[in-house]
Amino acid sequence: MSFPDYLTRIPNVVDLSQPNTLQIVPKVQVNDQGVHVTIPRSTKQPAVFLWNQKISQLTLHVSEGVAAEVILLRVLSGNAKQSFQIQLDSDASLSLHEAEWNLRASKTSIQRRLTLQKSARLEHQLLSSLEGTSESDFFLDLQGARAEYAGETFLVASGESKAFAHQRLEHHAKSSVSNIQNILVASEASDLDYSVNGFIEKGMAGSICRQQNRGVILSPKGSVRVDPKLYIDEYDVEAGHGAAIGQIDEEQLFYLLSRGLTEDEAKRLILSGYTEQFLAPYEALEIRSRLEQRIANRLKGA
Amino acid sequence: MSKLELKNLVVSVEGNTILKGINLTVNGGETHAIMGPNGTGKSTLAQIVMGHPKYVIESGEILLDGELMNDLPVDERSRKGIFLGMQSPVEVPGVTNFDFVKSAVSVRLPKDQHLRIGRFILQFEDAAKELSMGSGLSHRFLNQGFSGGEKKRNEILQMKLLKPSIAFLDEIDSGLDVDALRIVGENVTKMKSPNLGMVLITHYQRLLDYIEPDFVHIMIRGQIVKTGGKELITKIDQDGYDWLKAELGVTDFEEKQPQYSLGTCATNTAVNSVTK
Repeated sequence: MSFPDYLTRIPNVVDLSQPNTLQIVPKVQVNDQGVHVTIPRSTKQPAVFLWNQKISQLTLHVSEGVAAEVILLRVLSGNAKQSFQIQLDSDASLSLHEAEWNLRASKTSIQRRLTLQKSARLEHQLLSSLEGTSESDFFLDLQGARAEYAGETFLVASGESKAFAHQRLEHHAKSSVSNIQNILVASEASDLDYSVNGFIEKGMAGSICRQQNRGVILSPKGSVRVDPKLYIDEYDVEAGHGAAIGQIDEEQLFYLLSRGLTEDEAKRLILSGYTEQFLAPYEALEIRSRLEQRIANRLKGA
Repeated sequence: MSKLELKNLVVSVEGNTILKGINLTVNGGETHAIMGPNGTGKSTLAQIVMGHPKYVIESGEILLDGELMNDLPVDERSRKGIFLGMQSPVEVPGVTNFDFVKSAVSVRLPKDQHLRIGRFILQFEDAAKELSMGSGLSHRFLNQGFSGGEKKRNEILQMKLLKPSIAFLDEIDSGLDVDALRIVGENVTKMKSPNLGMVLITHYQRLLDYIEPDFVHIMIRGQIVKTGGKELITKIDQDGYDWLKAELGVTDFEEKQPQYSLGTCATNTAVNSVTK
């Protein structure tokens, strides 16, 4: 499978399945298991990677003290079973914007393993619009003191798509922080099932573990289930979780309708408010409008 | 010239009757003020005219230029010319003020016409300037992080650009400082024309110092109990509403809700009556 032209035209884009483009990456290892990318020094420009099902394993390693930004476009054309490891050394920081979609409905699964060492910081946004059945197994391991993870997911599904996700966030160090926010939108007969689990083990004082989940159901046949849990074995922590599932906020809808917007237009606009922050990083790559259109189609059930 | 008519309008929410037979006619060019103590149904009146789904019309009619509005969806009412400046405008994160207003103006255009963006940007900026709103207004998210005064001015900005024929302004003066009140008052007054009928819902004379009403109505217990001119505003400002109690023959403006208690005896009675 080759990527669509509008993706391969992105300046300095790295197609992980193409050895010639991999040369752009300063430190990379390729073997039968997959691709291991190390970011050895700080960069001002984001690195952009294209990832398809030809590569089953991807490791992204940010070296000690390095600050980097990565845009990862996971574009699939068929069934896929993949794993993605993110390793941040001490004092490393990574801003990671992931977008994933498939060109036709398929069965996909991904394991994400994230390891953060002392004072590492990861800001992670995931924009997901996979069709078919998708499974996601997410494991965050906060190994170093003061490691911080901020994760936001916007997932939209349509048709009869099903998405299952299991998120597990483990605090194995003092003063470690995890903030996770999931926005899950089900249109048509799609079915979204999320379990979100935060663990703070004994002795990890000063840690913060927060989860926020928002499920929006756009049609009577759609469903969203979220099961947020916290397992706390330490007194000196901050922790909170919640899940709100329902239709679009009635007062917001009334406000927009009262200005003459049709119900469809009003809903589209309200939901575009959720996606705005997720789409912003793709503006410079000139693929924002494509992603926006894709999301809009999913919301309409196209 | 538009005409809004409310005929014997009875409205309830969750089984409680809030409006109990409202009769009101608002013609283009007229400004009406509705005053009254808290909880008498003033905001309900504005919301039901706009078509808020929370409220149920039990009987009566809402007519705009003779057309029955009772079952018309909210957006259609808006496109036909009804506007509601809200008491507490909601925040819509991620949606810019400009995109929102642009969409609202676009849907009003005939199908064969498109919004001329360049011209609209100028109109938007002019309206914002007239309301002394900051230059970054267009890129801010709708009402998010706005002060109380900014939210109210933003309502007036929308009204200026949407050009309704009938506008309800629900406590548009609350949360405004003296200068903001003057700015809002002047802008609303400038909009007065034979093509716009207005209904101002307020508690205070101060708004009506800037926007002079032609009619003043006092609403008590879901009914308009008195209609007059500006002299009523002065009377209310000086004496409050207590003088109306004698006229109306009531001791309290707030209706006592019947109290129910379901104790053991009641439970037994209910169970016995079912099992007998």
